[in-house]
Amino acid sequence: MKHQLQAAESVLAELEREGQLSAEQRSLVAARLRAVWTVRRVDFAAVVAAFGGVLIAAGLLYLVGYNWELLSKAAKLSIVAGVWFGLHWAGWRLTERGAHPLVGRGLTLAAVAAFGGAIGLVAQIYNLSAHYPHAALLWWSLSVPIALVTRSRAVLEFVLVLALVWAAWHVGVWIDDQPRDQVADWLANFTLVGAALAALLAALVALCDKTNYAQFVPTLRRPIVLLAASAPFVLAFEEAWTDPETWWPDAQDAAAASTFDLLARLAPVWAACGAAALLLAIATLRRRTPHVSIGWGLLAATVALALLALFAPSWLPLVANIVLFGGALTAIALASRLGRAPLATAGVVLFLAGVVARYFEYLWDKLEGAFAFLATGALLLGVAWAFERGRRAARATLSTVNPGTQPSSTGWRSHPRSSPSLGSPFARSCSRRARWRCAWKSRRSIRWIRSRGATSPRRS
Amino acid sequence: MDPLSGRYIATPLVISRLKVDELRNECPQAEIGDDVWVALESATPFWRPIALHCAPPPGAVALRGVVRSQWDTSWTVDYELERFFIPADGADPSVGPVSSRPQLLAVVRVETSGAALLVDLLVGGEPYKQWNARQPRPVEDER
Repeated sequence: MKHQLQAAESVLAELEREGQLSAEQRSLVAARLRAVWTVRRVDFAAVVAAFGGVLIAAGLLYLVGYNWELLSKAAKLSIVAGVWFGLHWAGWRLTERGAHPLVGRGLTLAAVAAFGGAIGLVAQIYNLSAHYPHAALLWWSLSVPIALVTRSRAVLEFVLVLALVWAAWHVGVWIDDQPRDQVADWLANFTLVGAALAALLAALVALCDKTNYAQFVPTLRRPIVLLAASAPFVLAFEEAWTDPETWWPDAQDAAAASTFDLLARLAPVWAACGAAALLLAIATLRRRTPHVSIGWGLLAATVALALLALFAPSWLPLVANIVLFGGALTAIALASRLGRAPLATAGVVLFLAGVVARYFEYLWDKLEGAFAFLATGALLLGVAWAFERGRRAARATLSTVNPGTQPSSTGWRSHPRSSPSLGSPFARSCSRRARWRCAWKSRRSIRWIRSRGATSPRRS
Repeated sequence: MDPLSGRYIATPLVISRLKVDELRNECPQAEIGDDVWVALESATPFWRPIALHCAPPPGAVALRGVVRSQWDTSWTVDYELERFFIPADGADPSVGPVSSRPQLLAVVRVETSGAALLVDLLVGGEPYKQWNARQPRPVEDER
């Protein structure tokens, strides 16, 4: 980081010598860069503190666990409650009143982790067991208020991971309990629940955006693409859906099954869609942001894929492919609109993953031996080349229109023709939501001014 | 071993597997996933099931469970009483040759609603704590 800062400062000094930057602008940019990279150093400390918190929680769990049988029930419950409240109290005290907010956050994270241990130990004291993972449900749902009160992103990340693990675990147990669990049950339920949860997260992003919980937005936004992409990517494989006995292996069962019976095969999907629709409705009433539209789009695609899987499974791979590639292109377009380079990268990766998956699905059997290796190697080289080219271009474009975007891997300087100057009136007039269009217009205007400048002497 | 709760003995109950044609089945319409109440009567060595209900039967001791599988007249009912937690270094009476294993009996407290709690495990008629205290401790390897 220090070397990068020195390199950036030398570039700024060079620009000042060339007269491209004034001394005031140079010192302003250098000060901002220093501030940004100092914040990064603080982030590292936060990571170390979080690891410390997790280790303390694990140590406490082991320590108490291995001396457990010597204690009475009342003593056990007192220790469980005391450790849990103590960690929360210490975390709150150090964060709010003390001079060690990062250690305080680490302790709060340890308290949230220890809550799982507390649930487990109460279950142990009273010999409680449950078929469904209710302990995980209690753990994450009762930790949500802690995330809201502390507004800690680390706590939210922990709660989010727990919630996703619980959702997958619960769906798995539910499918296992069904009298007829086919491959289709596992494929469709897991992936479509994931897609519905992506819509739910989009609604949460919209609800948190521009509120006191705005710092939660990056954490909530991060898993959306992965969750949303899993459904069309997995369902696009043809093999599982060409079998006429996809849902009912027995012809008698198929004849006796009603529409409700068929719909019930995807009960977890409908439950997740219902939760997402409720949150999206609330988000729509409160404000219209791009994430509300994204959420409704994801929900509509999820419901469409679920209905196709049940009532026209042979059409599912085709539609899933359309959703996959359409979704990848939409992600790239949205990245341009919202000025988010990582989304563009995700879109490109998704598109290429789809191409590679279709190649292996349809062409692998048609190639033999060395040809297979040659063609695969060539394809991967081509994919890598196209990906890197597209990624650099997208990042370079976005870094010129969005000052907050990271620089391209090739360096800080982008092509002079594609970057509006610092004092450009076009750049100043760009609104946050239309940077791409604005930058495009700016470039066109600059070209037009240049062409006029070049031709005007001849005209005169 | 449960990562959060520790070491336990799996205690599948004999009454988890029911032959419904041998009971008074007052809930024949029950399907997989439905709650059922299994009425019990005192017997030796353990209480035995006598009837199956769709709701808590008044005046009878009945365990609430969930139907997990149905195969002809054989049903599996889950009472969520399948874990008895033991100390980390406690002896496990459920291992060893089948012929020399002691009989395990679950001591269960049942509410009128049918909710139940596994209170103790009798190992050969003796509470687990007492039985465990009599077991030889493994000699630590000092090498």
